[in-house]
Amino acid sequence: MSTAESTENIQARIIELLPRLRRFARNLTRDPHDADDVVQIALERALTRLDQWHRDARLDSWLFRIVRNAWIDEVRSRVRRDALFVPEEAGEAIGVAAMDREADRLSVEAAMTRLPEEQRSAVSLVLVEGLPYKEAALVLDVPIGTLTSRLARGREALQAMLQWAEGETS
Amino acid sequence: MTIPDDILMAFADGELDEATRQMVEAARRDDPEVRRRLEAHDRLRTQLKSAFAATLHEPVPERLLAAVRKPAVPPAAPPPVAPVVRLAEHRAAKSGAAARKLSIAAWPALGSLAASVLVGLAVGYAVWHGPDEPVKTASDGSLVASGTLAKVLSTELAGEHPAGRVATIGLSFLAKSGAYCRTFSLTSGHAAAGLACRDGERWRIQLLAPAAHDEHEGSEFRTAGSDDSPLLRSLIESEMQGEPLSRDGEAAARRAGWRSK
Repeated sequence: MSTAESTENIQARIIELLPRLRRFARNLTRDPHDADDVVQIALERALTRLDQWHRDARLDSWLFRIVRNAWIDEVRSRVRRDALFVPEEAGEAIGVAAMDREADRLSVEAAMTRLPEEQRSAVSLVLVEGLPYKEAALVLDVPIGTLTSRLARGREALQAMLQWAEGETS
Repeated sequence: MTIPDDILMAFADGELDEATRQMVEAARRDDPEVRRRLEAHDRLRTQLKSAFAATLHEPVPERLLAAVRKPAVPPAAPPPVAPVVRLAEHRAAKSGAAARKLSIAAWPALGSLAASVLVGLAVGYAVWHGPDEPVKTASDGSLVASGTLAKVLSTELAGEHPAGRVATIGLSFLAKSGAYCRTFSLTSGHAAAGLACRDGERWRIQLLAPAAHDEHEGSEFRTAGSDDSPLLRSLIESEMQGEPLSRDGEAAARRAGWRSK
């Protein structure tokens, strides 16, 4: 491990991370085109700010964070542009409560899209991307306690939507 | 024995310290209810992983590869607008040039605080030797920024890293008290990070933390919520009104001399 890693090296590592960045962005934005746009914006930002990446920090976490911030910025600018999109784009209005209880059993993908953004990103980082709590909390810029409570609520909501509780057999 | 949900979850996520892990392990052997709950956790994780695994095998679009390979532009360059326009069209945007902002600047300041010991006002940080004391005690006894730190707090935007920097700004926000507050990192001499809020013509230091070496970095996180809840973050969370300032917001606040209305 060299302390002065070359830019070329870092670029190669970022390229290896691209599939995961795209996946995270897709879970975040719930739209493949938006996801790639957001990843592109994030990459452009990241490459102009490589000096801000602490070499002992995880590169994937740092990039996940830039992706999420790029998405938050995009949501905000859409909110400014057109209030009509606010609830849908912000993703916060779509909760379990809004679901039809008699709805058919959902796929995991569909269930994920119904989580509020903060739960969706917590679930996505920890359960899909496999980040430790500490890293996921850094990505989301929240204390660990906040991360774990979002994660717990997200899991609970997913399980309810997927009808895995004992109730499934009744 | 009842095991709280958060402990079970942390067990399923491999986030428990050894002693607690063994306790849950024993409960799993003895208690079918614990087994059932843990299996539900495992099932959800497996299902999520397999549902989203396919994305990893899709070819990455050339434009993303190109975005990485392109030589880095100097930080002074304006953020690229092309993808934004595309997104805007995608959503049938009405106004074209909606200002965009960047907010990734908080990473260095907050990241380095993990596992550091935080020091409050009362501690003897006021005694800061050196030619350019970043912090001094004002005549009324409060701790205020001085020298370069005061200058950086008043003049620099978050994320700017001038050459030979002594201090950098992490993020800025409007506090519930109505004052502008900014997080900062000191990078020369005494590595430290903290929060300063505008108080008249000065920056009152609300919190200062030595950002010593992250000796915990790399070691495993022990229990859910145990030792990694930096005071600074909670302070920001509890003090902040709304969201951190955008770059435009910062620039406007700077023009107004950091006086809020």
